[in-house]
Amino acid sequence: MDALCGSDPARIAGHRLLGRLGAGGMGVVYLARTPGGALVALKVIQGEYADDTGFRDRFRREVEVARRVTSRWSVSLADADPDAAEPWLATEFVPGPSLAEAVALHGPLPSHGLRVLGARLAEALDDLHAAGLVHRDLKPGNVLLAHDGPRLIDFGIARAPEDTSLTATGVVVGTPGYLAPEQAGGRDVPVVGPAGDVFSLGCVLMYAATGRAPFGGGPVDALLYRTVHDFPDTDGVPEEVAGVVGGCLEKDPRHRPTAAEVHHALAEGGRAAEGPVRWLAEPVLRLIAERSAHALALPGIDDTEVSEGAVGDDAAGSGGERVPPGAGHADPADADGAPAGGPGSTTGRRRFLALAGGAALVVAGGGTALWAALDREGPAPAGHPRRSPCTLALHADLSGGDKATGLAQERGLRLAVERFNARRNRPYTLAVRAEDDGGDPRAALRVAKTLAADPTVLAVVGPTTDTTAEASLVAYDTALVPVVAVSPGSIALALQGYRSFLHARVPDSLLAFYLNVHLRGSAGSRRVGIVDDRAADDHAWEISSTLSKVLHRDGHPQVPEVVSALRSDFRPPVDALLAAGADSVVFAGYPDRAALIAKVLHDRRFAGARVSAHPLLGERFLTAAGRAAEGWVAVAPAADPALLPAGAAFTAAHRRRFGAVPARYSVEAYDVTNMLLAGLERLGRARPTRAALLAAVRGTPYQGITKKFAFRAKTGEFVIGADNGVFRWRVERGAFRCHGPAPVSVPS
Amino acid sequence: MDHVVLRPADWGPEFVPQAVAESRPRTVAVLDGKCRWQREPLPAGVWASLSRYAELPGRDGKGTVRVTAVATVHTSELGADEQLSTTLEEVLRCREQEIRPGERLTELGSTGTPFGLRGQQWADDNVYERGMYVTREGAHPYVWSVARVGTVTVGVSVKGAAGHTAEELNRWVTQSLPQMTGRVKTRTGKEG
Repeated sequence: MDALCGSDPARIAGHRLLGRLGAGGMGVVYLARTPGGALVALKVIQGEYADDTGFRDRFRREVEVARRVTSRWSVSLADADPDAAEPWLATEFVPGPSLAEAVALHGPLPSHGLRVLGARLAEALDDLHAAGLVHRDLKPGNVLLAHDGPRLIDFGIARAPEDTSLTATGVVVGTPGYLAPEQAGGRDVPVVGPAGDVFSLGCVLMYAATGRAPFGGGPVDALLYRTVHDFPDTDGVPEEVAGVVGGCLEKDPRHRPTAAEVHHALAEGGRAAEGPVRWLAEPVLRLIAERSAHALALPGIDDTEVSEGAVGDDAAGSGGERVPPGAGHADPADADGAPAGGPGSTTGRRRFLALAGGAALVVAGGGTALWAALDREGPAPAGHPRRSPCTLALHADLSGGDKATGLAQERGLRLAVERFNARRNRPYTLAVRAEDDGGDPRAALRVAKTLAADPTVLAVVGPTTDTTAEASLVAYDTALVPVVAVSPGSIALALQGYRSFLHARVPDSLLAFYLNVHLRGSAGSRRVGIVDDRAADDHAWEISSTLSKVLHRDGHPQVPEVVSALRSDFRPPVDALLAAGADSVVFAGYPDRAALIAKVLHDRRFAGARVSAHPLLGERFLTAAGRAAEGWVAVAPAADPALLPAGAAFTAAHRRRFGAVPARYSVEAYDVTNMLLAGLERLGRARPTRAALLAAVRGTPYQGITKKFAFRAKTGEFVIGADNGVFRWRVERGAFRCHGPAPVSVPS
Repeated sequence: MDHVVLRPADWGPEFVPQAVAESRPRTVAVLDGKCRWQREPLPAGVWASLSRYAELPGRDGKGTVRVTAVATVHTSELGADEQLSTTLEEVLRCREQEIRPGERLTELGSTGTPFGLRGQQWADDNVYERGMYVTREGAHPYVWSVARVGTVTVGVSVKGAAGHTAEELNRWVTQSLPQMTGRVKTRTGKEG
């Protein structure tokens, strides 16, 4: 929350103003205390807009709607005066985060929580529909979370279905990505009925279940097209709610259940979703508690009023740029993909939208669509833009289990930027910002938010691992920060539709093809043993199931062995493999447990090929396995620059700068940084935007030292070429030695 | 065991027992080296196992849907967890499986989801397997899902039939499996 400005009144209609929750072109929303002592979000429309009769009519209608909303799961109207000189409206203040914020911060809801969320939102919609109203803008940013259940907010564009005063203008009303097809179709849709809200509810539940917007992101028109024509990807929606969610997402409004039916289906006749329930995960409950505590600590009715001196540096009117503590998390559901004037202004607008959702605001008349229009036509938020430096950032594990990889990437990035800055004809000087997540997914999300909120950051290299990437890419997507990863391998990263993500290596599933060629080619395995370690969950399964499929396809014998994560004794699985005649072993898993199986194979004097993917390639395996590591091969998207034609100059420069030969993944980070720098150069001398840089890099392939970098324009997937930068590394005399590029076909 | 494994009526009012309504005492289903399902005596590490077979008789042009509910009590948590590993392994080993002559499973694929990952909060571990159930009458969707609660594993399978959508099958699975894990939790004091 921001402090009050000098121009703010101390009271409005008996309400004591405590601070600013947000501000827009047409008015301000305050946190206020009612004469009775309750906290409310109080919206005041500026006099000049109040003079416009159309505007005042819309505001009056909003108040009317709010009065008719009585559900316990909707934010209730506390008081309002649409006829005042400066009309105002006060609603119950809910200190909790929005669903969008909670999911972005702490991941999808548990399945029980999903049922509660769905049942109660459906109940709120049912009440609304029973009152003859349609919400029309249900989305994650318009659902606040409280300890006892959700609260539906923002009735700014809710109205009776037959009221076409907004749609008549031809503007799409609502938030693309959460609109029903009949709403998204635009043109001849006079009536958007209750079924449209039910569709949006399905989208919201999908988002709550998976963390993904059901129709992805991207340009508004593409999103609307997908809403009308595509079936959403319901992967990851818990089975027990998948049926209901699927019903809500029916394209034909006549086939969707009513809100009452959804409520009934999810509430299981009242058992699951009634009474006091623990429906949110611990971290979200903590967040609610913290915010409630903060609200309790605010001044009471008769405390000393905020003095002029307490007014912050905000008096210039840049209120929209400032964010209350904890409320500044951009709302992924609100991302509209429209590039604004520059990183600074984009962030400001997004923050404002997030704030509007998080603080129970309603923007008179136009809701989201109106803000979208302002975004296109209106000036950037007030303020005095300074010429800020341009920064390339590193997001990496610099202190955790994968710090060797992270530190190597930092060096590669710094070296590339320093060489850029050393040039006399450079368009500008670039700064480097490096942030450490320690390998922790939660820290990774914080890092991503910090970097995304730094308007000087043009692009990011990182993160280091699958788990940190999975946790943080959403934050980069929200702010459209180009983010280029060289070490995470999960194919899911590129398939999740993050708009600004560039996966600069082959995915793990493709490594399975290289493993196949290695085993049946140079290793000459006649019966491939595949060990899938469930301790490595999806990473292992992506590799083992793909390899198994390839071997089945080719009719090549295999012995699969899936090992429980609870198992630490690898003797039984190894003995089973050997008894079944496996003459090679592929380990799909992480290095610590690779060392366990390596030791057993060593004890059994196993002489066949032993191979694993990139996680093996590091000191952890060598240290843990000791002598048993000898002969193991890692197939990894990491090059040894010593073996590359253009690698010598890089190695020499690295040695001069850091006094050491480059560690693995340093040259890959150097390559992608140079790829970003080449993109910046093509944009000329003016200060570039993130969006322009993203387009420049995605659109033009770049030949690096290690490989050619080209990406699919739509998904950011790495385009597979002849030379994909996959190398074989073999443990010899206690160290990994590179044996050159991994072959892509079995020699005949 | 008797209280955990779903009876026909638990699946819905129209479900009835199959001609063989329960598994032979002290046996478990095992996928042999030739990818055929066999009943074998309880292995070491398993206390008890019970399967119940029910069906929704076909009518109005719809085929008969056959369902199975099974619970197995293991002597250790590791043993129970390894049953889920085995389920995953079976799909790698045999992409096609024979239930009995004339009944095959094809196009099998599976995913494992341990507790706490990807929103899975209702069992210590879960494996979900889907494919096609192929008989002389045609090919229809097939779903098999196993979950672990402590040392107990529970599973349900649904074999599709003409006129029934994959969504319907999923609904039966998603309603019945948590029902069984719930019963296990109540009886083992894992919840409360």
